[in-house]
Amino acid sequence: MNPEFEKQLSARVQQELNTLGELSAPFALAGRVMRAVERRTAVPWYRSAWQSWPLGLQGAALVILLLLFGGICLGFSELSHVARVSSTGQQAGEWFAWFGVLCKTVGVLADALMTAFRHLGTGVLIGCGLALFAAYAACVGLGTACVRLALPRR
Amino acid sequence: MTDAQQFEVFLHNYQNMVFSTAMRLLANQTDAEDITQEVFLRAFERFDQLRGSRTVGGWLKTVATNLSLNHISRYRSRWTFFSDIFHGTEDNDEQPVDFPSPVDTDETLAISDRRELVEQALQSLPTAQRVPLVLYHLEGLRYEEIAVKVGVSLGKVKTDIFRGRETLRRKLRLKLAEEAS
Repeated sequence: MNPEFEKQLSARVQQELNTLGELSAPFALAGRVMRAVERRTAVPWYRSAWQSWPLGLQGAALVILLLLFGGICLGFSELSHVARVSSTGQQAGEWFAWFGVLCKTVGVLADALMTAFRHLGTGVLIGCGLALFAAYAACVGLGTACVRLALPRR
Repeated sequence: MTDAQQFEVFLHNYQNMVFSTAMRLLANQTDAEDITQEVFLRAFERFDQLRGSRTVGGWLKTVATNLSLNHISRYRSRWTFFSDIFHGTEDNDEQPVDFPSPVDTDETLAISDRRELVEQALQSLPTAQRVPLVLYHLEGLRYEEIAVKVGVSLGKVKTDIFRGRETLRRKLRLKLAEEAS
């Protein structure tokens, strides 16, 4: 690119674009915006974003949320303490027993998977990886082709 | 005068500026109207601060520019990804515009007609050329700022702007001093 030509071209284009004034907004646009504003102001405060709430309500909401959070933390802490020393703890332990079962199942599955990997060998594992990659690439290719067909370029 | 009435006056004062900014970046009237509406809704939320501010024009322009660029990246990024795979660039998008002969454009066209031609030529540029060109020549941003705003390299910004100018020169049959001599 010739720097002198570039400079002249830039100046000429700038000169041409400087002649452009503002475009006129469509006649109906102002009415449309005012209707949207009216719709927005008609929305009650509790259905609008927190930032647009009245300042007092913002503060009150913040305090309530903090108290709630503190309460939950305290509750859990008390529960774990009580669980160690009382029968209520046993009951709570039963409620959460399903979680232990789930963990155990996942552990067994993971062990089985590790054993299978050890016995399959590196070649088979690399082959599986390549097959997975090929399947993924095929999906991307098919997706691309579909988008190309569905959205022809303007 | 109520707040709503004051806002209506404010809207009438600035709507052309905001609409022009969005329209030149997006080259699509429906999208430009949507962006203009969103800009004024945001302005309404801060109307108490904005109505007395001297920089309100700049604020509106910045919001309109950012929303337009967000709109372009949101709706075009995926498509550009796929189009880049197949076409490499957007240069093939260039639509020929039916312009009068050079003699007409240089000598006899009225100023308003000339403006319309320039506007039409600008809006017919591919997005990749139009956006940086508008940001540079009409919004007064520097190359580095455009690169950051658009999220591309500095080199690509310079190349795209150069291509955009070249396309405009061809379409408008602009003559440079070098060629005239």
